[in-house]
Amino acid sequence: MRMNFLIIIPNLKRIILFLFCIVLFSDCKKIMHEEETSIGKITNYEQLVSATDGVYGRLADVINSYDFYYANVKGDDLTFNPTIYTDYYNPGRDCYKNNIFYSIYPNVWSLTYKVLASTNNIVTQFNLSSVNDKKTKEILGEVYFLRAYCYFRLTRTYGEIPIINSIDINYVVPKSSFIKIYKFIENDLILAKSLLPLNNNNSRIPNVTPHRGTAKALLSELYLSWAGYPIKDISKYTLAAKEASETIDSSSYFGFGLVNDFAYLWDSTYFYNPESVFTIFFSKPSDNPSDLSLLNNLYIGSISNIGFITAPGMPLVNLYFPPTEVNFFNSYPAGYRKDITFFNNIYVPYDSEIKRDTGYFHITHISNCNRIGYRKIFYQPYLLSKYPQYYGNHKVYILRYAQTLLTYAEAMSRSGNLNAHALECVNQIRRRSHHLDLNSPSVFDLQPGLSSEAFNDSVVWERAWELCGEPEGRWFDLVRLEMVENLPKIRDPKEGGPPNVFDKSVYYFTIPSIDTLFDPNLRMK
Amino acid sequence: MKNRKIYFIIILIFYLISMRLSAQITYSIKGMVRDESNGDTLIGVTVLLKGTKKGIVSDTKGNYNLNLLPGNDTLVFSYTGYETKEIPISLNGNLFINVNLKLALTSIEEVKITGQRRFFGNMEYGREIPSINAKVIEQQNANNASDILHASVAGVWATKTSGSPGDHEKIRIRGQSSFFSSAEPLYVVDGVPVPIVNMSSLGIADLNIHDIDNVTILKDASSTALYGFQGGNGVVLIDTKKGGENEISFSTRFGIQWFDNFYDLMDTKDFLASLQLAKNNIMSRLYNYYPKITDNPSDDNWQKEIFRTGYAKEYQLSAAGTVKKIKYYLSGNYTDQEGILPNANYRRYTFSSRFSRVFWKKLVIDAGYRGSLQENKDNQDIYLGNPLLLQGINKSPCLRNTPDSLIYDQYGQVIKRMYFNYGGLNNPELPNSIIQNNNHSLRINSDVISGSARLQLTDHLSLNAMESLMLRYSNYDYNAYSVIVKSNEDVFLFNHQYNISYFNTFGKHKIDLVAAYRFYEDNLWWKVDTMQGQLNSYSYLRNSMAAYGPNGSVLRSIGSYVANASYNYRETYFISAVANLSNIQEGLHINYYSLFPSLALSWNLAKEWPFNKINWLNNFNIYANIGKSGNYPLNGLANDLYEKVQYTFGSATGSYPTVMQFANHNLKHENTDELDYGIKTSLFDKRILINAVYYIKQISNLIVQRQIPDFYGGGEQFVNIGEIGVNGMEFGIEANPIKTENFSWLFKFNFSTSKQIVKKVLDDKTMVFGNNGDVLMPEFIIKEGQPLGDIYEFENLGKWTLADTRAKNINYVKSGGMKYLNADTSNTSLSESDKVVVGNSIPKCTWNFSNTFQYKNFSLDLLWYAVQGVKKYNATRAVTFMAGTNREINNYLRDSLQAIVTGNFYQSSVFIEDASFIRLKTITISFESPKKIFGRVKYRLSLSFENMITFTKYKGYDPEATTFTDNNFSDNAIDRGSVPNPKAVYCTIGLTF
Repeated sequence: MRMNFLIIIPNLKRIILFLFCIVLFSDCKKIMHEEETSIGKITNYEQLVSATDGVYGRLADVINSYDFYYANVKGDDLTFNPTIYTDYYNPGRDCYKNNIFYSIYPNVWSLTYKVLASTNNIVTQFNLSSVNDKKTKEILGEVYFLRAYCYFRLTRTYGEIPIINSIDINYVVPKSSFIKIYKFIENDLILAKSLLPLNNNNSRIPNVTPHRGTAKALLSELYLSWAGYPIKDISKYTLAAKEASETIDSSSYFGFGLVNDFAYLWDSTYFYNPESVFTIFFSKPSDNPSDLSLLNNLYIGSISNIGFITAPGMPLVNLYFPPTEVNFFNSYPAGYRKDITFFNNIYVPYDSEIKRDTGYFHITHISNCNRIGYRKIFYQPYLLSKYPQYYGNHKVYILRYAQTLLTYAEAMSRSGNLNAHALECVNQIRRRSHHLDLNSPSVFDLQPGLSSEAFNDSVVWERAWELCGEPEGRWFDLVRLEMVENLPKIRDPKEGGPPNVFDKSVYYFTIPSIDTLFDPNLRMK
Repeated sequence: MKNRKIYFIIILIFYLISMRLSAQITYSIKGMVRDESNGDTLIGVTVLLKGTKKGIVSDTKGNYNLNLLPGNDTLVFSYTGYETKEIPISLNGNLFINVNLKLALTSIEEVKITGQRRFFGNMEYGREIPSINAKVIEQQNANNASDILHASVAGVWATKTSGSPGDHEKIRIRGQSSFFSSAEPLYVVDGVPVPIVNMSSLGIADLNIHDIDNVTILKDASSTALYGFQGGNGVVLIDTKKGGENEISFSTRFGIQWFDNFYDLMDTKDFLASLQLAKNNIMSRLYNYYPKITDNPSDDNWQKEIFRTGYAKEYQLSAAGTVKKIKYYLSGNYTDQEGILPNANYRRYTFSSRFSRVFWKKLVIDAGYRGSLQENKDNQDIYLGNPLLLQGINKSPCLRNTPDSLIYDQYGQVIKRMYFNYGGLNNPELPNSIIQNNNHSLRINSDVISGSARLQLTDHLSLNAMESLMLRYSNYDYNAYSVIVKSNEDVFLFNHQYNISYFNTFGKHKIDLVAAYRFYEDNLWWKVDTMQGQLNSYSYLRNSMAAYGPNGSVLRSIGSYVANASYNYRETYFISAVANLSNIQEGLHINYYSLFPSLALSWNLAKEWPFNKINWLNNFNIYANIGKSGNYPLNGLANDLYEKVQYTFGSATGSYPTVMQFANHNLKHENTDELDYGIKTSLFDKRILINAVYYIKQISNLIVQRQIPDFYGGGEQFVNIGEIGVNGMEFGIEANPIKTENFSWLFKFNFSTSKQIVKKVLDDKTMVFGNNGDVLMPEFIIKEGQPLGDIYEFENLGKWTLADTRAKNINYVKSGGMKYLNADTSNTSLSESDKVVVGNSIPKCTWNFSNTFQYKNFSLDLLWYAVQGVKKYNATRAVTFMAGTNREINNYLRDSLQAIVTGNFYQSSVFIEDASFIRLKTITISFESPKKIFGRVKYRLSLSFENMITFTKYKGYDPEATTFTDNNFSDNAIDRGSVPNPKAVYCTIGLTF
């Protein structure tokens, strides 16, 4: 039977041929879903930038976590009061004991390792040896820098930790020795130093992303730490001094310097300032409510839990953020810097609603409260903004130039090279603390001819006061100089006091139980 | 002129005489053997001189050439899957006879080697590879292409999990082969493997059943080794029709579906009496706030409102033939099914075309396009059961005009809507409002373009190439109770394969060699576009990839090098060896090779002394095969998960992708090793075929979820840890006991068993899959040495009696007035540790039994299907208890009302029911016109009944229906608002021009 209507067949053939051509000569994947397929793959510079920006976001999560300051709180610039902290919601938040509660909810531990996962993912996908592009190398330098900082923080918080530099999961990873860890960090930082842009003007985002000077400054901190407990390789003081000295000598090239006024450090007008060596930003430099901050869950708890003083003279309730230890506060030299650092007056809401702009607050002097030594900048976002939930102008200094100056001075002294330059570095900070001209000699200056022990002692205290309550501050000095054991002696008995047994076991937190479940090697022996 | 004639006759006579005198003279008989239905040349047809052993096999072009002595003889043409044809010849000169063989109607022999199987070479030796041909498929009255597998072959456990229109069968070949990965077989349609684990697949629902030429099932690892990473669960090969004989055919089918196996729920009068009983006897908290008979309450049987009679219609038009040497096949189909739940509707439009042409007698080019559109509207078969069914069945009969069965406290506060306050079901809405408030629609567009070429280089050597592309777009819209979800899934598949094959016969040796390369890429994307309200498990369509996260993709490619060699000597000794070296690449990290070898040996004893003396023994093959196959899951398990993290660099806030959790970058396929022993025999002129296989499978590297240490960033990854052993047997008999001119009876019986034992699990040797507090979900246990699929619940031992209280036997514990087994005697209260294995959800055996009676032009088909040794958690029945409408609860009200309000009761063996069943799946009566009417039209009429009789102890709607369909060993155990399979009557009229 003949079917005439099938004359269209030749046409159909052509159509099919055409369709085949489409299939064979086009990459359908690209046509269909370019965007979705690119997630996870880091193949070009834009994706690398995006992935690296994500690492900063992860690091911000660490610093934003409620237990980021737990290590610091073991010191005296920040302390914790068991009568306040052991409350209904937080039973046994005793930072001195390596308590079980803490190791069950290891925020900082897991979040820091999440940052490391992101960095490892990037450096695994980008084999450095195959990269020739300068810009790509620079950004990989950032990644190595961030990884180094995370390990540095982790090892000083948890002691010996597993070093993870691969993205293939292994359930049993031995703890690395301190030497291995420090060498790993040193290696990353030296790599970062060679890869990163030359100075602040050349950095990817000026004033924000690290450059060579940043890496050198962190390296000097690493060496300083290396020379102290637990490794105590005092030869590293020379290296610390060398890196710090090079940073200071080229400070104008790198774009580092001290701000003239200590208050500028937390002033939105000076949101970006040369004193910032490495800073994590949480907002724009603005008080505009539309510049929503990323801090949804500030380390001092959610806004309803801040627990302001309910009335003058009444005890503080549920005030989560750690205050300064009373004796530390009392011994803090009075002056401009102390006024900037701590509250003299405190805003007290009439009711629980925090609406400063509508007059719900009145001001009372801190001495009317049962507790002194609240560090202003922790509360600054809430108190200084018109709209407490939406505040701008928030950042956390990880490393300030002032610290580099002090590191230089200490390292010079401890390596037996104390000189006038080192003295001047300390003195600049001492002058600023009294709101004096940085470069004119003053009565507060340390005088030449000081014994190196006395000088070291002064520098260590100067660090404690200057960096009071800052994340890289006092506690880690106490550890590296093995001064932790002295703490109970200098502590005000009213603080509730640290436990009687106060030995090396409090230096580090235990590794969270969740990970020791996987790897018994991680358990403390 | 006249002289010449005389001269010619003289010569002829002389010639004939001389021929007679010379005994050595032979004549040749040549010709070509073709398939009667489509004109395909048939290769390897045995042409025998009847009564002798003299014969030949047709060559690769289908030609045969026999030299015979003159005389009257009969030639016998035989070919597997075709009816044997005898042609009487009277040989007195060279003859040229073309023979067309007819496909065996109800084939009881193995069917021809087709399509994909031919591509990879001969796999027949020493392996059991069943096949279903078009004729059988037509008889089955299938709605969905996967229905074809329902009860046709041994070793296939097919479950129609839902009676919703458009739903596909869940297929398990030789038992459950995985814990959590998909255990669905791989469907390969005209060479394109179709992934199943996504909503758009709905199996092979886009196929028009009428376009299917044949279906072949590769069951054992020895044959699925061909598909390597994808073959572990078995492979279903489907070839579509290629055209041939000139024919236009039209058929239409109308059907009615209904459901009447209702629960015996109380009417208003009984319901109120039961409330009164509860109040009077037991529950002091129950105050007089429930409706009274004096309120004149309404009396509804909501089951009648949520089920309806649905209609189905189908139109099919196809044309085939040859025009200008181009062989074509065109077909269009429209199917519309309503199903038995209100508002639902399934429509499918398919179009298929196929063209082929032979060039220079050596090159065959074939190309085709197949497209379909499926629209599935308001089929509410979603992730956690059909909400209409679950919500509809829990309503009190008097809901329409009086308050529900609210239970108030003494202050008039509602404390319970139902006896058991189950969150998800506590809804006072009338069923018809539920229908209106749930809007779903699923649209699936599918396009397949494919083409192939075959070049015959020599008589023995040929080259083949095949290219196919499949695109599927599916959109799913969900709009219910202010939750709006719009999601889509796109699938892009690309497959090309090339082979070189060599086939030759040297005397008694027969060799078949194939070297092939196949490249396959499957890419899936899924994305939730719009999401308003809280996305919950109710908003996913079952099988949706969206369950793996709102956005995702799987990009995977597989390249396989396959070598296949088979050899036979004297048709007695057979050996076949396959090696498949495959490479898989997925995402960033997965890229590895694996070898899938296979070996099969077979020995036909019937050709050996003394069996060759037995006349009635046609074949008696004993065989053994061994092979390796795999299953690499298609869920993107090896993809690292990313999430966007916000950060501000002191300026605008941006969000940047970072790693959320690493996947296992060394993830491997689940590995199947299988050993089969079997016999295949045919008796009495092949009127009886018997098949028996015993198989042992070891499935290792099973994928289990495992927590990632925090020092790697935390989360969960999938690791290859588990191991199960599966063994079982299959037995099949096909027979044609009566075969007369007017009447024939064929029957087919298949029986199969499977037993899966857990060999290895992660670390602590026991995994309990909890219900996450959802009492309407059973729990499962996976324990080394125990069967897979064990349901883990409290063992209910009836009511607690006074005697029990007196006995103080620590083996029992009381909870809510009921007595439970106290498995953990360390405490005397009912706790999780008291749960025990109360049943297994994977059937011990399945069987099917089909009978075909043919009288003249009438035929009657009966198909029985049975699943036995299986238990199921009947959550639907549990809901009727919670609502207090099931008549059974009156037994409890008198002395243990507390049982109904206690969660433990719903997690007990009370609702674990035996879901074994024997079902008369189909009865079909058909009539085919004996001769053409109007000289050219042939017609066919058939009437078919479905699911008319079911024997079961199961108390629910349908022992076959389940809520979940895939991915898990536990799926078969849960009947939670599952839509039952309806009864149906279909009437088909077919016309052929």
